[in-house]
Amino acid sequence: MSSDLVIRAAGIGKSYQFYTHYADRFKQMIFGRFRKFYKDYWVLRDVSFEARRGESIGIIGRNGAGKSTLLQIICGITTPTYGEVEVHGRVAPVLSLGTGFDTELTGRENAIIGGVVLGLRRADIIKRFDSIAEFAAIGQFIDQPMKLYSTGMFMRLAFAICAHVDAELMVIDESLSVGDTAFQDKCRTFLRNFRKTGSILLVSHSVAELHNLCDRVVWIDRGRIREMGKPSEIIPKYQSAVHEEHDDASRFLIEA
Amino acid sequence: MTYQSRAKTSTAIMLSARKSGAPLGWLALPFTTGWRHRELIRVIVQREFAQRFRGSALGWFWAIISPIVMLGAYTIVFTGPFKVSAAAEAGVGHYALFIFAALIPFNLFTELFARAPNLMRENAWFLKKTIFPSDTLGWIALCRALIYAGISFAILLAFELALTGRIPATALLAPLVIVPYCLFLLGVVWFFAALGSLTQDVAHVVTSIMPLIIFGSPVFYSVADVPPAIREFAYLNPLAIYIEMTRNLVLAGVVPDFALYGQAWLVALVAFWVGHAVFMRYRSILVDVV
Repeated sequence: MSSDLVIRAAGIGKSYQFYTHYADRFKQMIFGRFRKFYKDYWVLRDVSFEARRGESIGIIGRNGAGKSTLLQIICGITTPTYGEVEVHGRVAPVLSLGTGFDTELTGRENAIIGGVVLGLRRADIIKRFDSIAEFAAIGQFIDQPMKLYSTGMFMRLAFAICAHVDAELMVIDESLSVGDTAFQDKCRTFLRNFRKTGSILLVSHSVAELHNLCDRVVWIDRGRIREMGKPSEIIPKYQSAVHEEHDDASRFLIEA
Repeated sequence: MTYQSRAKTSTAIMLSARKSGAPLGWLALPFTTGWRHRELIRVIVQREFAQRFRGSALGWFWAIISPIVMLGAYTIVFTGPFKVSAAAEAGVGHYALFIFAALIPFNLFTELFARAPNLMRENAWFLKKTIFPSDTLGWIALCRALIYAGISFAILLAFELALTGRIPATALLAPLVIVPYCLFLLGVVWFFAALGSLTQDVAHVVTSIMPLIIFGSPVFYSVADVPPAIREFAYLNPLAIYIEMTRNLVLAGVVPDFALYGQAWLVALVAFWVGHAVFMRYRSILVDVV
């Protein structure tokens, strides 16, 4: 295991269990070793990839392909059904909207809790608070309950916190597109600097973003890695594939 | 922070326990995770209180006033005509104090027990969106409840001093009972939090048995009042152990029997480790279920 390895995902798979009857859940808990009482929905299958320090990886794929689940697994929020994940260093997740905020609390309170959750000391986060507020640039709203925030403000604060926790890996789930152009530029500048020392794992539907920020792109299709490589190679292939395929429900099939 | 995630959570837990060095690392594991996240626990407990008293002019006053009202009412009702033999036998002049001293540990239990099954669901937005160590939810719930219990405890001592003119020196030993009691409570919280997130039924079961627990526990009576034939069984209810010991220390000035104290620790540690193990065993599933 080399020291500059940040992510190592070795053949991970994730299935969610669907129960037809509520009681089946208990049957499964008690007799699970003899029989299966649920239907599997495989969100991810046999996904393997590695990321080294300073490497940025983009993930593309259609809705329901398993991108967000993959990020959740990398962040350690949920565990894979099979396979192994190793992550080294502090992870800052800017996951899709609503990022772990208590909407009753003010932005300031959430920033402190958010920073501590990510492993900073309370004193450190208070010291950095001015800088966080400046980055988020939401003015007086920082001391208002977050239920009054707009979607963009949510994302601004989420990103601002994650930008200040000395992360070694930033995991970003489609959130950049929510901000306005000015904020997107700010984030992009930040990420370009961040790449010099840290790694980025980015889910995006924006071709420009993937071209600009990523060294490599992983294309996930129905839970499996379809292709992996340079953005300039993978993105055109993905785009033409999307144009050819029909947009129907067959991709969300729950197997018996 | 470096972590590994494997398909089988139990192996992952064992691995991290082994990494902690000591051969019996798994025994210390629940403590070390709690200690590692102490800042987080502190911050969240602080914000819960800040939030609770925000928008109320008197703030903390309300946390203090409700136990005073309760104890005041007990005192008025039980001073004089209602004096019960239980109080006289326990050597306590005031039955109100007698009940209140038991109600503090009892309410600590009921508050946590009632809340545990929904603990994960209440915090689902947190668990699913950030890297939140879910076992700290147990510590957070305990700290919160302990603060209220502490306020009530201070009021109890103040009333005792006012009514009887003295507080037995053995009251200083109360922490020796409170510590194992907290471990017991944490075990209960983890166990029912895990069970409760798998099915809503647990929450309903808990609410329906709650009123029964108070009669099975020595709150309005003392274990000494239990008929000798079944007295041995009174301590099968773990709450009885802690309630009796606390009350004896604080009011009667009686140091607990050594065997009973040993039992208190035994029950506490078993509950603590079993609760934690069950919680950690199901932790990865719980996030997907709630």
